[in-house]
Amino acid sequence: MKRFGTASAGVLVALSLAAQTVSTGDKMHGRLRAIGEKLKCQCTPCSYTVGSCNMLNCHFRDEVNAQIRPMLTAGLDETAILAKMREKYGLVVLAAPPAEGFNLLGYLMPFLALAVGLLVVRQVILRWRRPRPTPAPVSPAIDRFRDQMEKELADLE
Amino acid sequence: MENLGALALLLAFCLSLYTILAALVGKWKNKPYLAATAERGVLAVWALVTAASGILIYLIYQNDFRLSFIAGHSNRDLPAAFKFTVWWGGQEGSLLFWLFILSTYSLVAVYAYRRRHRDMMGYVIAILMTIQMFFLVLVVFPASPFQVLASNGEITAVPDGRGLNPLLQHAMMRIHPPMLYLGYVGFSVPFAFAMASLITKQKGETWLATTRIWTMVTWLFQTCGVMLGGRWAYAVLGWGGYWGWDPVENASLLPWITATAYLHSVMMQEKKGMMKVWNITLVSATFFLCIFGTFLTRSGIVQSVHAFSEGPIGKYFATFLAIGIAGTVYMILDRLEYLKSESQLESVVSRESSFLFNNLVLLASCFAILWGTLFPVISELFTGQQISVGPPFFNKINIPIGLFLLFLTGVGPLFAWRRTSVESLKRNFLWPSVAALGLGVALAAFRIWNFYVLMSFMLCCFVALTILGEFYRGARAIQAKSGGSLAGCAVELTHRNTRRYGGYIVHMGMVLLFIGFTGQAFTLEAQDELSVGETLKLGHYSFRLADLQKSDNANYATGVAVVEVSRDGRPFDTMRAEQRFYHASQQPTTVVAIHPRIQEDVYVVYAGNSNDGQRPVIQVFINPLVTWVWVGTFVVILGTLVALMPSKVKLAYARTQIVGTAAQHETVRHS
Repeated sequence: MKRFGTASAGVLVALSLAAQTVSTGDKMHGRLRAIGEKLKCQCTPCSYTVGSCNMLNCHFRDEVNAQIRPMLTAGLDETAILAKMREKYGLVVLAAPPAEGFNLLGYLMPFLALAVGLLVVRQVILRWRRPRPTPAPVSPAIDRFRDQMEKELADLE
Repeated sequence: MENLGALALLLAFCLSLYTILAALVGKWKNKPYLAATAERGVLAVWALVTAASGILIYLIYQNDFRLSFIAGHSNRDLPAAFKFTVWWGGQEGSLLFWLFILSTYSLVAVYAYRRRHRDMMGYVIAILMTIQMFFLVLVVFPASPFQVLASNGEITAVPDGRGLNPLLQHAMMRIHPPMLYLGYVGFSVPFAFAMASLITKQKGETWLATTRIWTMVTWLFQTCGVMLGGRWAYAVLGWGGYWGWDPVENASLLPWITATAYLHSVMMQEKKGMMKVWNITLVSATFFLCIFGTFLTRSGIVQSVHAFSEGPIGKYFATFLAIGIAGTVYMILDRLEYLKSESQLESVVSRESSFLFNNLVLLASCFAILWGTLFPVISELFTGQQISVGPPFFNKINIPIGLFLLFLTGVGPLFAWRRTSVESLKRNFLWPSVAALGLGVALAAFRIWNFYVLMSFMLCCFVALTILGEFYRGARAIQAKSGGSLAGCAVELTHRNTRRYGGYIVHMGMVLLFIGFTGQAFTLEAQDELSVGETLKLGHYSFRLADLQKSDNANYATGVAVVEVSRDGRPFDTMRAEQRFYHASQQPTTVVAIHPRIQEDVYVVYAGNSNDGQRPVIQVFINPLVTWVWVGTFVVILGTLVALMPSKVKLAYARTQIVGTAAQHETVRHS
């Protein structure tokens, strides 16, 4: 029994030691990364976000993360943190411009282009479907060719 | 030696000018001997460019640091395998590499088609040589790879070079740029044929088959190039992803999209004589987007990890683009009469309409990417304020467009030419739709409620089943007629019409790619500073830093984090994530450790060191379904190769053609 108790204590100590050395990662990292994904890294020639920038010792990423950590600890939410970052570094720090003012055009333009494209396609379809003058009667030989053509077209791409 | 190289390029420049004049005058004045010298001019230019390239490679291997290009991009201790990549590792060499590929393509195109396309070959040569001359101007004048270092009027050499960019010292970089360049440059040939057909006022049939095969081959190279770039980013950049919507990545995608649109719409012209203006426009747009991509990389107007340093050649590209686009637009407008559609649309629910929508959505996607890439410049121009446009913007715009495209991939090929009956729609789509809805319900039951994720998986299921259904129905028909196994009959079916079924395989590859893309939504990540013996947990995995090894060689010093990975308590793998510091360039880089699995990749990065420099920062990712992206790429490559193979059954087909204008007879002819 004594041996069992010693062994149990040993296991408990080992487990508690193990527990001390096991981490599920920097607790703040997930939120830090999520906010970082919305911020554009400004190190040259990086074109990634602060969250994605993996340049070793990136000065901008480290500086921004160092500022965000205390904000997260203080309980600021993502919107407030992004606003503070924008205030400090300007609009350029946001990975996507806010959908306001001229920048709204940035978001709308692709869909406007798609809408215009749809109108163009509609016009093309209408033009292609416009009835053409009825051709004069054709010979039975031509009819045979037409039947063959339709059969072959059905087999093709 | 370097003088020989520079002389070869100068001679090639002069010869290219002669070749253009000989080709045009030979055509206009009907002088066949002069035209023949133009063909030989193409060969001579290729020989000179090849000689110059050979000399540059020789000098790179000789460590001739008198040359500015070699001193800037190589060093003595660079491994021999990477010395070859120095050729395209810097601006001057990469322009010569581009030129070498273009001159080789031109040579192949001219000598392969000079008899078949005799009437337009003079113009094809003139256009291809004009493009070559542009690149020759660059490598002879502002960006010569043979420029020597000089001090006080004396040629001098540095003791050692600055070395190749560490990011480029990766096996993938030996094949990614060549593949991308083979794709980019290859689009010059279809463009030259398209322009020559316009100049010679051809209706389009003669050049179409030639350009379609060229476009498919170059599209294949471009696909490989883009995906290898993604694979390289995944293995080297160490941020856990493979596509960051970087401006240069975007630039490589733009011509790929327009070429994809062309490969679809060209069928309309082949089968129905429709969309001729559109096809010429797409071929031209693809070519100019390739040049535009090169302009973006080298002009400094956008910031990118892939960009070459800002140089003086941006304005050369801008001028070439402006003149080229203006000339092309004029030529298309001038020849509209020759590009009239020959057929009518009988029903909106038809293959013809599906091609129109497919092209529209592809072009919308292309426009969205181009717009997003250039929007920071446009916005600054109008508002004076600098902005950034990154992944959140591109994802917001392109995910819905991409999903709609995926939907069209499923429905488009199953619409019949001319008109599609309700019965056929029911037969083809009922069960795939039911299965897709069933999958949607099942996923929702597993608490996957993200709209885009659900839509993507449902559409992948729908498209995969429609494609498999096509194979199944066709194989069953053959089996009923001639017996054999279903798999054998599917192979026979594919062999009978390689183009159609190769296309289906490509579509299946796209489905796999979309599955892989969707997996990104489930990525898990953790990061921590660890001492040896400490463990980091993520999902089912535990990562124990077992050892930290340091070593040094002539090229770089390295720190290796040896990480023992276990899954649910059972040993899984020992992974070695590296951090290197290259001596010559004085730049650090990471080498990621990846354990790929079909359901998820385990991805370990030695991301840096703690502030006191004592503990490594280990970043780990669980990236679900990434392997599907690479498998999908292989399937796309396979499908394209199948589509390039000749069909077993030679299908001669008829085509409707309106001859003349109103009230004239409609005639039918065989082609």
